[in-house]
Amino acid sequence: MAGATERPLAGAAERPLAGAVAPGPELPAGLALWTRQVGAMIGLEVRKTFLRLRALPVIVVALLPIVLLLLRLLAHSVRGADPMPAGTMASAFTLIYQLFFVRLVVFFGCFGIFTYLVRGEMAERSLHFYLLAPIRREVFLAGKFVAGCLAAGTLFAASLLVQLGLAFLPQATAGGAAYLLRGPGLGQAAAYLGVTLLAVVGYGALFLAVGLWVRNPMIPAALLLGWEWINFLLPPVLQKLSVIHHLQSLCPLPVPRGPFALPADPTPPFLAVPGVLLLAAALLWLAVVRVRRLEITYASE
Amino acid sequence: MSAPAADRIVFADVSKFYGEVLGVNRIDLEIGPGITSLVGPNGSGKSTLMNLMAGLLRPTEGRIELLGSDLGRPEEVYRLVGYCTQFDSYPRGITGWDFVHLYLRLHGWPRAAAAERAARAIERVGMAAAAGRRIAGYSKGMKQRIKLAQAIAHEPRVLILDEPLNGLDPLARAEALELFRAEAAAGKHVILSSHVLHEVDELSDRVVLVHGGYVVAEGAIEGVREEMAAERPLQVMVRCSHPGRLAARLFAEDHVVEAQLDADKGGLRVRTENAERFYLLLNRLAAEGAVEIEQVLPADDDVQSVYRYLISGQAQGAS
Repeated sequence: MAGATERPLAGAAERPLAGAVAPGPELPAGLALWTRQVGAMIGLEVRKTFLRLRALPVIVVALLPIVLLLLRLLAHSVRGADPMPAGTMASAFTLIYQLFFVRLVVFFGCFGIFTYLVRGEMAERSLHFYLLAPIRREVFLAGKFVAGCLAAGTLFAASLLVQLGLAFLPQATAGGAAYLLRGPGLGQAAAYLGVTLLAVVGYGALFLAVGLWVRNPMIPAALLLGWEWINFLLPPVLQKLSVIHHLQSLCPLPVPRGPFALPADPTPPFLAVPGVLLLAAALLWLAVVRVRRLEITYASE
Repeated sequence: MSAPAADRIVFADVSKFYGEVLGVNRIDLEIGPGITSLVGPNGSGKSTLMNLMAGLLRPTEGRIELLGSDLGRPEEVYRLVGYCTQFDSYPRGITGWDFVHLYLRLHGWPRAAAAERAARAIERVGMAAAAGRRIAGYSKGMKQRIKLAQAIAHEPRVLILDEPLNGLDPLARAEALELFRAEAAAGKHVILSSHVLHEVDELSDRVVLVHGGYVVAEGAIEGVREEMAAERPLQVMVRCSHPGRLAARLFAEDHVVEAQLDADKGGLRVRTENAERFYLLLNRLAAEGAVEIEQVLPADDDVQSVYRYLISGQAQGAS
């Protein structure tokens, strides 16, 4: 049967229109509206994602360096060893920070947080809650990204500050408090904090984009981790094509790179910071391209 | 008279494929204000049609307009549309109140205004007492009602309701139907899908029968039946004094396809290709005193029968 023959409803034309909810004084437009929408998203994201049991693995990962430093402090106390000189501790701390905290803790923490933001909601079939709201897709993505950055930034910054406190406790480091609060340690701490936040932005954008474009983000994450880890073995030009090279360039103290490392000049801060931010912007643009075309087809996810 | 395009949902030659799998195919459809029901079995394409009209899916081919708006602009479309989806998953850990209130906050409403609207919507669906509980602990019917509250909370012009009566108890069903009628009476577009056919039969201003990804018929229920009559005989139940005599007389008519006596010999079931001629003949025979008519009932004027006709016809055509 051909079907689909139009049959107007009796009286349909005479019925008054209910009218849409027109944006009025209570519903702002433009930037004010987007700010309000992003604010609402952040509130929801923090509640449903970061203050729940599923956040536990990421919190545990963030606690790992703290546990490491606590064990060191405990061993120090048990052995009754003399506190380490502050300069030596600063060198040891930068090893922990660059090789363990940034490369593994922040990397995997961001993976857990940012890939879940969209991909996790697809897997849980709850993404339509957002996509049925009158939010521009770009604003939706911005809300997700900002929420992720706030959560990850707070978590890793807090972890870093506790690590610094533990590392430079007077019981573990001779003159540690003076070094950290009045000496060069304060500037170093600020640099580590800045690098941590920059790492959250860089890796966050990376994993948000990966989560949108790739159904199983584990595979690209493993490849990226490998790339970041073998970075020091690569020719200098290729070394610069990694997030970790720019982050390490911003760290206040260098780490020994081993006999097989190929020397590459650190990127100066005035290039490293915008470089990571530009990379993040490019990745977010890729994510926007994908999110604009996003459909709700949970069955195929 | 057709309503203007700005007051209609228009599907123009729309197809949707999920890879190689057909969702819906070559859909031409216009939906005006009032209650429109999409009727069809599971997997027929109802939800795909709804997701397309709500902008959650994009057509593989063709064009969809919703009240003149471009579906590619969610910031406009979802002020017009409230969608009660079939998806039974919710953001983790949230309560019924959060579900509606946060949705309004995402619209941009300030906290107090959002709270006022959320309270009103939740009250309308009878969920005020349970709104503070987590959705994860809700029954199926409560989940349906809170989804309904979310769909109506921003007072949209278009309500899309995918199987909205699933899981509702009889009282809640009646209340929901009343709510749909009220929304339609306010001039809104209420599009719902259901396989509980007798409910939509009485409720709907029009039905869209969907099968295998195709719209097989569309219009007012009586209209669909008339549309079919040229191809498919109308079936009428006649209770009368001399059914055998009536059957013999009817067989002489070329428009009568079948006349089958009831088991109790108190009536017969007639299938005719021309309802008008059949009723004229019946009146004449009654006037002549050939038979005494007790009751005449169209046997297949409800959606269920129409749908059964159509689908069985399709199956026969395919075999």
